[in-house]
Amino acid sequence: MKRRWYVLAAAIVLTSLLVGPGWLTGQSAAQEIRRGGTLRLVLGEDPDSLDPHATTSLTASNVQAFIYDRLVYINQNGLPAGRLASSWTVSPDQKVVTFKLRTGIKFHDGTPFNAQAVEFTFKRLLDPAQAAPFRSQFTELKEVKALDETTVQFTLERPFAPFFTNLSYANIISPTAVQKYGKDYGRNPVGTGPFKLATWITGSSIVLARNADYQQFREDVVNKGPAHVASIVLKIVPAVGTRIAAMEAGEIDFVPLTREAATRFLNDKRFKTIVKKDAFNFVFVEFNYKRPPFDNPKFRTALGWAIDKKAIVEGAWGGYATLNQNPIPVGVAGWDEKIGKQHGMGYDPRKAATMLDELGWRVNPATRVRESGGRPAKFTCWTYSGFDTVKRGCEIIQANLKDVGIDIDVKLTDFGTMSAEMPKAQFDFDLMRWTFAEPVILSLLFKAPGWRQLYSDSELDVLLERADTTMNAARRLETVRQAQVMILQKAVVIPILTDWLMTAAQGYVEGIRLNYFGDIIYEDIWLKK
Amino acid sequence: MVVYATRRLLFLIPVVLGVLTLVFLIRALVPGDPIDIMFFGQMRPDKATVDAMRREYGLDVSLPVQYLRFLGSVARGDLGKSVRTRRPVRAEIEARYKNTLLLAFGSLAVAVAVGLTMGILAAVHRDTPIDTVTMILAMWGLSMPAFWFGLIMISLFSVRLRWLPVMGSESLKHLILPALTLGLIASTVLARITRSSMLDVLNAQYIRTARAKGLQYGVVILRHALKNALIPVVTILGLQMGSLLGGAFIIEIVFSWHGVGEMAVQAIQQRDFPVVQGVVVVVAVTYALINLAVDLTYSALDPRIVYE
Repeated sequence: MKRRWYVLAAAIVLTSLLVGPGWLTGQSAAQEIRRGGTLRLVLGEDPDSLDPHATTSLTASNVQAFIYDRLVYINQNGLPAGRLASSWTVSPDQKVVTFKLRTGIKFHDGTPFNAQAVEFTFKRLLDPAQAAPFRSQFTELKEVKALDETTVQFTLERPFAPFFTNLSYANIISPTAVQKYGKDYGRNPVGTGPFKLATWITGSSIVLARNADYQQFREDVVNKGPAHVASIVLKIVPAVGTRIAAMEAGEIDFVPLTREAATRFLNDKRFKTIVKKDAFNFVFVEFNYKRPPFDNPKFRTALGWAIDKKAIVEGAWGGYATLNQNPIPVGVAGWDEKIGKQHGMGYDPRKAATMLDELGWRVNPATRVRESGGRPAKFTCWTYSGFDTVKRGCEIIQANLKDVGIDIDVKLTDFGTMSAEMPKAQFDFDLMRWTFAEPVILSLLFKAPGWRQLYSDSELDVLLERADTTMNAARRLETVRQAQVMILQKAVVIPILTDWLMTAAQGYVEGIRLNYFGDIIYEDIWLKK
Repeated sequence: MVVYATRRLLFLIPVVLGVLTLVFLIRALVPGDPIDIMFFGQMRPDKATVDAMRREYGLDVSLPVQYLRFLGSVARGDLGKSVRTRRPVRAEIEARYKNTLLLAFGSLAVAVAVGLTMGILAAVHRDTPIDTVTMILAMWGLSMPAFWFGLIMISLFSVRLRWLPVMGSESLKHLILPALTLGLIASTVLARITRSSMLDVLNAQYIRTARAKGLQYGVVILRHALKNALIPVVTILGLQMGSLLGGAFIIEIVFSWHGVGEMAVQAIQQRDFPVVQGVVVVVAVTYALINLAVDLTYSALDPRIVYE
């Protein structure tokens, strides 16, 4: 469910943007850029810590992105490119990567960025005593060694395809600051990024000040110097409705749009809207594979054909989603519409009914509910509370399955309880949503034991292991495609849709551009007011 | 009086102990492990890292040991460490508690001002249109969900008129809308209680005597009647204060008023048990202290009430 930050280490995916009326991306080049001012953004919660080795929270990661730089970034073509690293070489066995670093860069505390700082950062990350949650992204990393002032060498246990993507999220921290602040480093973060932490009022707001010495090396950012805005204030606003009201009242400059608010903002010329359709979101039905009849791929396939995915796109997501028959988000490399169309499950209730008949699930004329061996087809669709979209999705599935003689109850539980209860295998099937930008999502979901520790398929595991360890992009993508076909043929999940990433900005916000992940590039933003 | 207050303060110990036990039991029964939630949808780190994290948060020992450790640290004034922020819960609560108190007292001020005025007006003008309108408003307020009323206030005063900020807790200006929302709703109960209490007093003989002596009507109402009618009102005020502290949870979320309520809701969602426990303990103690203060106020209002 949470948004994850991976992206493909080697594939070309075009970012499609649907832009609102009255503005175009890149138009700021033709205008005189106004420097200064404060950009006002919202956070859904107070970050837990700004120490990259003390958190996995998405909110914290978003704030850290202002403060820290990373060795590489993923460019608009989905390929890794140099950021703090100017170049790198990979050993023939694909296990050793040697980076050459840029020079003349300083941390916010004035200390120099160098290979020793990189080594310090990764040694701290790998130290079990640090118990860094982010270490989970670097389980394949064996050793990091500074060879000289500007050269650093990474040694992997085995070739690992998502390595560069993971690296594009690994913030480089100031060793001096870590030693100075000790356990309080998370409240006093020091990086080399475009903004410095100015103030942090717990639970209320975070103020970031422009790093006046900043040099930009990313090619996807137009502004090569310090950010245009003088400061950014991040206001902590947990309630979605309050954020929307604050945007309408002019108290903030950007707001992520929910399905409910989208139509209002898309039709209001006071605001600019940004819609990324090839997002990394993925909504799907998954099963309790340990409970009959859901252990039978044919039964799961029959359910797949009975569900009207288009009705869910329209009815539950208000049309702000792309129908997706592949078991991978639309924006992730390796997604190929043809695979879904050829091997996936469309909508054909008659076909579903025939398949259920063949499986011995016959309709009882008295109850109009199917039965097999005296057991009526009565099951529960489980999803998490607090989100109207998935609840309505379950209700549409309920109506669809009733049409083919299957009775469904809808059960809502808060997400914490749901994720704790799932491995106990006391349910039928659930409607779930993940966000993940890298093909490794297939392994996270389906490689034994799977994220809920319920699925195990040695044949699929072999394919996924190959995909994760193939450093050659083209060959890796071919394996990813094969894995998708296998997942669909076995109906491990019923893919439904990819919902869009939607954001609104005030009319005076200029220079709005997105990076490959669909995140706004704040260094290019300026305020025309 | 001092003996009574001391005895009541000592009674707080079993109350707090009961609250601590209940909170701990609930946390033990609720499914969902904070470490699991932290790694949901990600590659899990190796066992050594997970074990180190469990040790750090004290989740590696049995529940009875966790309970005893919990009681021991609370006795030392240590409410534990947040699983999310790794900061002391006490520091997290301290940073926000003043906001919650500010909102509770701000709303109480609104509730008292509006509720007493409405109640007195309704009682004095009994069975007139003023009484009817006041009581209809009171009924309307009683049946209004606070979060919905809050959204209406935002829509009107912030989005349309742009008079007041939607969110935040930076200044007193930010306090106006949430305090009005909570206070107006709380005032409706006070209005009803004040009305009925005032009606009882207004029929008493000493009021008739006071009027017969030629005292001004306003003086009779405010000095003689209201003071005697206040005892049930103060009782309700004490209870209201408790519900304002608790009810403020939702309003804090709606207005992004950064108090302990907002923090508690997030902590519950993230299974940050130490924070949830800390907030419950602090709110429970506050509630108990407020009710003690209410009891002590009785003797100030009515000298016939003496505590021994």
